Amino acid sequence: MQLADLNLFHAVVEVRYAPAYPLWDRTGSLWAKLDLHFPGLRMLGVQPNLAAFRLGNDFEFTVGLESAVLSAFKPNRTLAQFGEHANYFFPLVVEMLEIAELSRVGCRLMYTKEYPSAEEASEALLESGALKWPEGKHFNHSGRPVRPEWAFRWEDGETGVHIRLRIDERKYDFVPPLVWEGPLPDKKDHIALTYDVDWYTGAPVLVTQISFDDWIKQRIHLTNRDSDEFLEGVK
Amino acid sequence: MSAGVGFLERKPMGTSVAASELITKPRVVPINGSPQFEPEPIGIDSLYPEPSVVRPSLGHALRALAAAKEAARESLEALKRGELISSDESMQHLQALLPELFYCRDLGDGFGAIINALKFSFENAHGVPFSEGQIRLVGQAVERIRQEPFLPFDQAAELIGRLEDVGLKVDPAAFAALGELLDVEGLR
Repeated sequence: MQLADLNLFHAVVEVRYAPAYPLWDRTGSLWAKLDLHFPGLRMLGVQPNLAAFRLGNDFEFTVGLESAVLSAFKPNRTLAQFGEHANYFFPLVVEMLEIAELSRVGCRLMYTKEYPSAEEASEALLESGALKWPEGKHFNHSGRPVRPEWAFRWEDGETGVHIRLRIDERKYDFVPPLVWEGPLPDKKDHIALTYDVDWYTGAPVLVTQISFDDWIKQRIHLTNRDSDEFLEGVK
Repeated sequence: MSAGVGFLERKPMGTSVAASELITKPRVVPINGSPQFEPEPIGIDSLYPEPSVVRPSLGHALRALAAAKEAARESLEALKRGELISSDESMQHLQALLPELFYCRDLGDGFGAIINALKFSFENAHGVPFSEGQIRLVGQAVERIRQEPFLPFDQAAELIGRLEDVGLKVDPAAFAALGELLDVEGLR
């Protein structure tokens, strides 16, 4: 299995900061500016400590008292547009909320490959060579493991990365409103082998240090460069 | 102000004190709130470990500023050894990096302002070697914009002010001539 066999399903960049109380005064101005820059922004929900908006069916923006998040669903693998959005969104948030330092910056990339059943997804992961296990009966069980997963984490005090390979099962159900007429959409089970790469900083990041699209480019480059060695199994 | 553990606060004379307040309460100051224990910001090389994969101006700036910082360090060391020529050569090497850095000023107004100030500092010195204090401050300015390439103009202006404080002339020579002209004409 190689990274090219998987689709980039979800990308998220999250920044965390000390409580930014100007949020309580400036939420409206912040989102008005974002609305001008991103025409078509739709409000998902607003509470005193959190506001979330969606752009099309691809991007979600969330700003809270202690964190801001940009998510993309099924983005382009280069994350070029995601990087452009991040480069507008996060600098505006730090400027309007008067944030000088980010306590953590994280970028999570989830690559998936869909399978008809959990068994087939498990089999694909076991066949990849990424995992090894002894033959015979262990823990009173024999045969192939089910829903296998593995994880690695590296940290050096300034940055870290956590990579995981697992089977994800999501169930999508539709609850119709009372006046609904017509056929109901089918329930959908989404079963996928997920390769989840979580990059994060372990030391404070000054806002004068970071350019978000450049930082995201770095994470994509490193993910593309190094993933196959793990997905193909250690030789 | 005392922050000792087990400190018993004294009330001014005449203020009634409830018995419960006389019980010594440990006062614990969390170290993560103390300036002494504030973690250092992340190193720029940890943030961008692959300079070839960022926008060209940022990649060039990070590489050239690393070389400039090293040149300032070597210049200071040579000066300590009494090797004046070697020290000056290192600063000339730093000066030679400035035109390349000038083309990276799209990184921000603060970055451009500091590079300009350094460029004019060298030009206005007319070949006279920098003093130890000036070299040290030039090195600090280079290190600061390498660590914080997106420094805003107001923070850069503070740094430029410090360069002026050690006697560096950070403005174009034409500015001084213009100033004199305005004085003569009585326009200033």
